Amino acid sequence: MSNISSLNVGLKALLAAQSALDTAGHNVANATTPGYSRQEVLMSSSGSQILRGIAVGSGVEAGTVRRLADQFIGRRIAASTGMLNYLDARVNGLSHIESMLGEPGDDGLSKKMQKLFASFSNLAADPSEPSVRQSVVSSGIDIAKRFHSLSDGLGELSRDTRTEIRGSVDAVNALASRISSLNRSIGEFEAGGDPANDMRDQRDQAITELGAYVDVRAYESASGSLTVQVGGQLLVGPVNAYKMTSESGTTGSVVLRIAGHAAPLQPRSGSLAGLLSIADDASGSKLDEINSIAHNLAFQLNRAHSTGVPSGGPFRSLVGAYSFVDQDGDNLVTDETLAHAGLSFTVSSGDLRVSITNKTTGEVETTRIAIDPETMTVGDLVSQLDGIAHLSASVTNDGKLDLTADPGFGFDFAQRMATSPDVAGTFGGAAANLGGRQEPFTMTAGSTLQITTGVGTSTITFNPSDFTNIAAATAEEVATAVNAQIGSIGARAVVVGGRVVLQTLTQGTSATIQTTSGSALTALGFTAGQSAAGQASAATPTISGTYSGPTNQSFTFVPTGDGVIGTTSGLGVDVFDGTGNKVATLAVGADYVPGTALAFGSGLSVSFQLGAISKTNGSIASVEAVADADTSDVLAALGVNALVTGTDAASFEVRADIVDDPSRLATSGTGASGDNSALLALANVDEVAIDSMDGQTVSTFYAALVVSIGSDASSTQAMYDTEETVMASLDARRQSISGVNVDEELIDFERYQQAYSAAARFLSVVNQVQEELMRLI
Amino acid sequence: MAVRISQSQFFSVLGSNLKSNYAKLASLQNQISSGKRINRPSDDPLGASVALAIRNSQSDVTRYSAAAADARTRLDEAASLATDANTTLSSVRELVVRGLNDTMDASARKTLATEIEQLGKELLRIANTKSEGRYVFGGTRTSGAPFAEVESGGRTSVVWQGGAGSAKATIGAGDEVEIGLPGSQLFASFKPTGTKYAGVTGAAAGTSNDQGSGFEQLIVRHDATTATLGAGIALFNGGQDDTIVGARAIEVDGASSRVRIGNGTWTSIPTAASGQRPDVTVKDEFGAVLQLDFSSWTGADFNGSATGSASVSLDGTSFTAVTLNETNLQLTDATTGSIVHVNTTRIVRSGQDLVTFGGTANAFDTLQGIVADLRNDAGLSTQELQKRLGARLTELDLKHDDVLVGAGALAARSARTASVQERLGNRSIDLAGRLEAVEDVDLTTAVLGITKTQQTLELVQATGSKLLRTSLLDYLR
Repeated sequence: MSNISSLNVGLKALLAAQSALDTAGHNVANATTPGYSRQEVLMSSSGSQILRGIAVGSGVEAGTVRRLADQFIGRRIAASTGMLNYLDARVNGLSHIESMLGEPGDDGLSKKMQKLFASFSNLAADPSEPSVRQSVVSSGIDIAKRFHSLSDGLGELSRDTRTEIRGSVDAVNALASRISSLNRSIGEFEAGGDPANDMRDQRDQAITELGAYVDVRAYESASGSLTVQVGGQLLVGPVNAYKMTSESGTTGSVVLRIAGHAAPLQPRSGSLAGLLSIADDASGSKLDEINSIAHNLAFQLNRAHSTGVPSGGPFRSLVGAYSFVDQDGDNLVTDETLAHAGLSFTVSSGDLRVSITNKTTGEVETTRIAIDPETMTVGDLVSQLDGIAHLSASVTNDGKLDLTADPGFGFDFAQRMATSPDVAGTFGGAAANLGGRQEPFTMTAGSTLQITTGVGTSTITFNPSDFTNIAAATAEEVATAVNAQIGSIGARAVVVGGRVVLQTLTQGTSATIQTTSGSALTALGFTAGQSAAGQASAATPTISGTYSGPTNQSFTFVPTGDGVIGTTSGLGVDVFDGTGNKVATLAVGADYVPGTALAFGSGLSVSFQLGAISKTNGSIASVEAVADADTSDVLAALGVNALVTGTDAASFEVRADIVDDPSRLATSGTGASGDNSALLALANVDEVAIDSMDGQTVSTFYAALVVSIGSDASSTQAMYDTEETVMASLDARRQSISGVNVDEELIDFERYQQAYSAAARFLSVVNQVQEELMRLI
Repeated sequence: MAVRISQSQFFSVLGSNLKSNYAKLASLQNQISSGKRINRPSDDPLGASVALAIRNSQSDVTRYSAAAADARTRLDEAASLATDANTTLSSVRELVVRGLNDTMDASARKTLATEIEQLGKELLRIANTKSEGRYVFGGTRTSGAPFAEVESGGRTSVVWQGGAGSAKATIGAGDEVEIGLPGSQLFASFKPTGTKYAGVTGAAAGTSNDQGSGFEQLIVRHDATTATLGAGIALFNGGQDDTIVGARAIEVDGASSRVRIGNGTWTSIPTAASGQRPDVTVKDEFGAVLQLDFSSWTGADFNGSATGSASVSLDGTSFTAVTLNETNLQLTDATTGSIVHVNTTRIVRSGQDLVTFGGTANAFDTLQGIVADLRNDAGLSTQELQKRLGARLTELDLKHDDVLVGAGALAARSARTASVQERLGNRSIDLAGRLEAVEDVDLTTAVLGITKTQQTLELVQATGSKLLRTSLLDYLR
């Protein structure tokens, strides 16, 4: 009989029970430890020995302590945590942006914009009332302040987010190094053969915490160490941990990098992913949209305002608000084309009309400047403006356009209409007029034209050097050539409506002009010997009415026959528009009383006086009807007579000198003091469809932005709530496998205590048996 | 599947339930205290987008309403002034009709003239009315009075100085209304109807159309009289003071001692003894005068003829001699730029004829003309006066029509604006209702929600606290 083996059995039972008790106690102690997986001792019965001829069991073997953990649940929990934190970061950021916008509410931008447009409308009812003018300026300042606060708020959010990112990156690095050191410890411990349960728990917990920051993938290698990949890049290797860094880009966006990788890190979940997207939004896309709103609002307001005239009448001096920027490094801005001169707004192809008013006589002269931004340089524009009589133009030292009128004169860009379209007197005027055909003319080199007047004769020779293309000569070129060579026979050539008209300088019935001969006669539309004489009274066409057409248009008047206005029966005047379409035929024959206004469309009428007009001799008059004095938007692009200065939300301001003196606000569109069309146009800016905003108006674009942020926030919140539910159920699963139920452990206490007592009792029995045996001897 | 619940699981579930209930409670409380279901766009993005759109429409409606209200005030004001002008012109008409009456004498007419002059000043005052610093009828020119009195060529006339067109108000999308009428449309419109002659001298309009506005004076001047005379009858004073133009037959009746020319009344020839000779003024049926010297009259019957030659002028400085055959003689007035074509064939006497460019005179000049005619400084006969006044009255009636039409147009615009205002008012109420429906919280639902959530919360708290305590520890010895 071997008592040693029995003692062994007893001892092993005692030890096993003790281990089990210890483990149960360990479980209870860690009942509230986050990430703890309950442990249990794996007991197995030891093999049997042949003792006294029979196979007898040799007791219990407390093998290993097993950790009840499901690593798949663990991975899914890590993923869910990552998503939760990502959504949380986004919800916070979007909420913050939403609060900043303050919509719907009285402080919101949409209310302020509405107030501005309402103030324009109020002022339109009474353009000269100072208190209403002040309210326009105040509304403008209000909007400017709102734009500033939005821009500042987004900037602050961006800065705060970057700080948070830096903090999170530090936390990630700390976790990574902890995982790496746990890897080492686990490797060393498990080399001895036993599982390192608690350290594995700690490592799992670290992975979960890391998952809250970034999307992690963890792989356990055969050696038991965990490699952690973050966003596809290695963060913790089998041996080392790699450092993550954050850099702020110039536009405020943040770039994350892991040491040893050139490409930036793009986490797809975790709070870092959320923070990065918020940083992008705050300093990127949302700020861009706010800036775009400010930019477009400024441009549209300036477009409506720049062609207006304030109540004080035309300007003495104006300086643009936006500067030209030198592009080619030669410190000169004058050689830059308008399209590439560093302006923030686009100059289009079109015309600019500048009106100079003589303040003493009230006379107005309008000059048209054609603008092609691809070919016209800043210098060209300045010299053409400077070339206008009584106006000087220059570029200031900081690249802004400076316009000044001579004393006693004023300039403006109003929608003025010439009331006398027959400035040159070529339509039944008092001088003798001979008009040819419409340009272009197919001339030949060396062709001649002989002109005779009461004073003398002159022969004009047309050389190729006078024309860019002699086969397609323009009326301007022909007229210049004629005027250069005509000498002093008392006649000149003028260009009206694309025709060349030869005209005497004297008036009255004694003035005569004749195209006697010449090889250029047919090309220009004259016949040999064609002549005309002047008259005592001129037909003097006079325009009345206000042009209501949508675009600029030129109207040309041509008689249908020869005769005297109001006398010759059947005499009429055809009216053509700029494209050559006939818009009206006016009856000016025997039934027409001179001076009656005849309407020819678009709100305009023309009246004629008694005078002879002739189709044969090419009577012609032409008038320009202006709907928009600046179709190129160059004034708005340069900020000349601007209402608003600044190009984005941070720089949006009401023009400083309007704030100082609200009477500088433009009210009239035509220059007439009682006209309020500039204000109506300003109030209408709210209805303008803007191309760069997909054809939406400023208000609807802003409303769409607000709603998109709101719906983003709302859907992100909904996703967060869903994810929370998912997380709760995952956690429940994990708890159900790994969680400690104290009641269970208490029962285990009882169980193992009994087992211990039983084992102790067995030992005492074995001892007694041994003593019994000893007494026998 | 058997689910094991651990303590921490239990605690965390309890905690999250409490959290969600509190959150619900807080949000409902927020809704009730603000009265709005949508405090931020994220509360209900679709609702927020609708609410923002409604708000935009509301601001448009407010803007248009304000503009419409202001426009209406101004239109009503202009309409009432136009009505005043209408009343004034009616009074003038009444007075002129009285002045046309044969029974009036010169001093009575002068009194009328003074009254009409006052009414003319009143009309000018109405036309130049300033309201809130703006000239009501000034059109787009607000810096000076629309009608100004100008001196030119010794005459004062009233000239239109205002701007064409008027300020506009936007009372709807793409809907602009003009909030006034330029005074020129009411008092100085140019709608030519043809040239008319008062008919004093017999001059008539030629075949061509004329150019001019307002009134002109056509002066027919008697140049000389040529006569075939006999029986000792001679022209008195060489015919200087004669006014006949054209040929007249002279009939002297020796027996009855009377003489007549043309178809005029017989004029008795005073006897030599009465001392009333020598000159006898004979008038024909048109009132044209021939003066004959009967001092050497033989007393015999005589039939002869006399012809008066004349020249015509428009400006009083350059005269054109007429042969009385012209049907379309062109005359020019260099100072006013008028060009007139005259038919001279039926001119019978010299004198000043009133040329009216029909439909072109302004009301004030017409009134001034009436006043001048009634004062009759030129000493015209009643007949001539009546002819002139008749012509002026026709012009005045045209202007009267303009004023009525203008007042009507202003009133119609005001009525249209009023109906737009009403529509806008309805729209505003409708929008407010829709906004409320979208944005505002239904208090009943919210309060019920709070009660329910509160109850749930209390239940969770009560049961949770009971269950928290249960543990085997309580029962194991």
